[in-house]
Amino acid sequence: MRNHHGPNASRENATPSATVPIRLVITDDHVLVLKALELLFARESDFVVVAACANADQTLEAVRRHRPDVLVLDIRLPGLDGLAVLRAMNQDGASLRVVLLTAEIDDDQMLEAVRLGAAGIVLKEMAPHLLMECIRTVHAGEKWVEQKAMGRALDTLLRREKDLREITRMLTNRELDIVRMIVLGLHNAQIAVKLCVSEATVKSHLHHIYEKLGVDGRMGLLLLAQQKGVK
Amino acid sequence: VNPKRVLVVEDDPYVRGACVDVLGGLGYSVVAVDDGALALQEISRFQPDLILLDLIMPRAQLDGIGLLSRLATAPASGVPVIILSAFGDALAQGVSPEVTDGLRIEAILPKPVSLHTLAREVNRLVRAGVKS
Repeated sequence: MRNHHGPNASRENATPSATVPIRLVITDDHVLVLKALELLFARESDFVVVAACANADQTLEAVRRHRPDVLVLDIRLPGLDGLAVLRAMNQDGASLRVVLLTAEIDDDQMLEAVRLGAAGIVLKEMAPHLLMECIRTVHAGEKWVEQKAMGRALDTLLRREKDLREITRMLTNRELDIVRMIVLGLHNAQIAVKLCVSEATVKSHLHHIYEKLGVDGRMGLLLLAQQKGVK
Repeated sequence: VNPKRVLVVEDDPYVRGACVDVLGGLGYSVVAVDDGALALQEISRFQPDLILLDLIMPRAQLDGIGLLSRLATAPASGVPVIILSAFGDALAQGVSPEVTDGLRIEAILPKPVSLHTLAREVNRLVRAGVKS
């Protein structure tokens, strides 16, 4: 058993089989990339590409039809992106291992992808053999995700939610509604109409909110709310 | 003597079943759910002495990360938690203690989890008096 998972993981537990190849569906909206991937996998005896797809709809259909062992999926796709494909597969109840192959990914996207079930994440700038290694590792039931980046993303998420909870505790429900409307860019008059109160009442609420949160005005409130993740 | 209560939150049916079998065999009262939303209900109803929590549950309404965040401020905060996850290293090394100060994360067990290790950690925490 290996406890460390990530791009530096060794292949000790990967189990490519000479007799039963790993069946792949590959998705990328760039034809050249798709063709290059097909060529790469054709050179490896333990892989077989059962479908090559250029968009989300083709991918979902191919997954339903072929039931591959591993889906190699680009995040950036026309229309529904790779994360939306993961969500759709979860709704379908599809159970397969997914490797994201992407030109770039930020920490939030990475965390979201992992929470949606992606087991491996590989950057396109990486050497091709790492993609193969990642797929074999993921096929063997392990993860291939950079732990440091994952830790950063978890820290950011938990910190944001903690901050949000603190704001939620400090404000009344009505005040929180007003902050959300400020974040959406509504003016006092619009907020007053939505809440069926006078504009003076909205101003009074805002005054209390500024005091509670220690901000000196609307812009300060907006910045704080965005920073703390109020939506 | 009332058995100690363990709540297992795990979406993999095999791991969930194994946890129930092993901990039940050790004399614990075990409830297992596959969603953090159900876990919140069980925390109120079952009042566990210990929670075993998987972090990544893609099909759950509330996954383990979401539940962890809720536990940091929920009334049940203070219930010790054992994390079962391949991303235990990320949680242990990447997350600042101040972010998790409302939680009692007592152990992080990387997946695949050895049932022997799991039983040992649960017994250790119970012997240490997870909830008197």
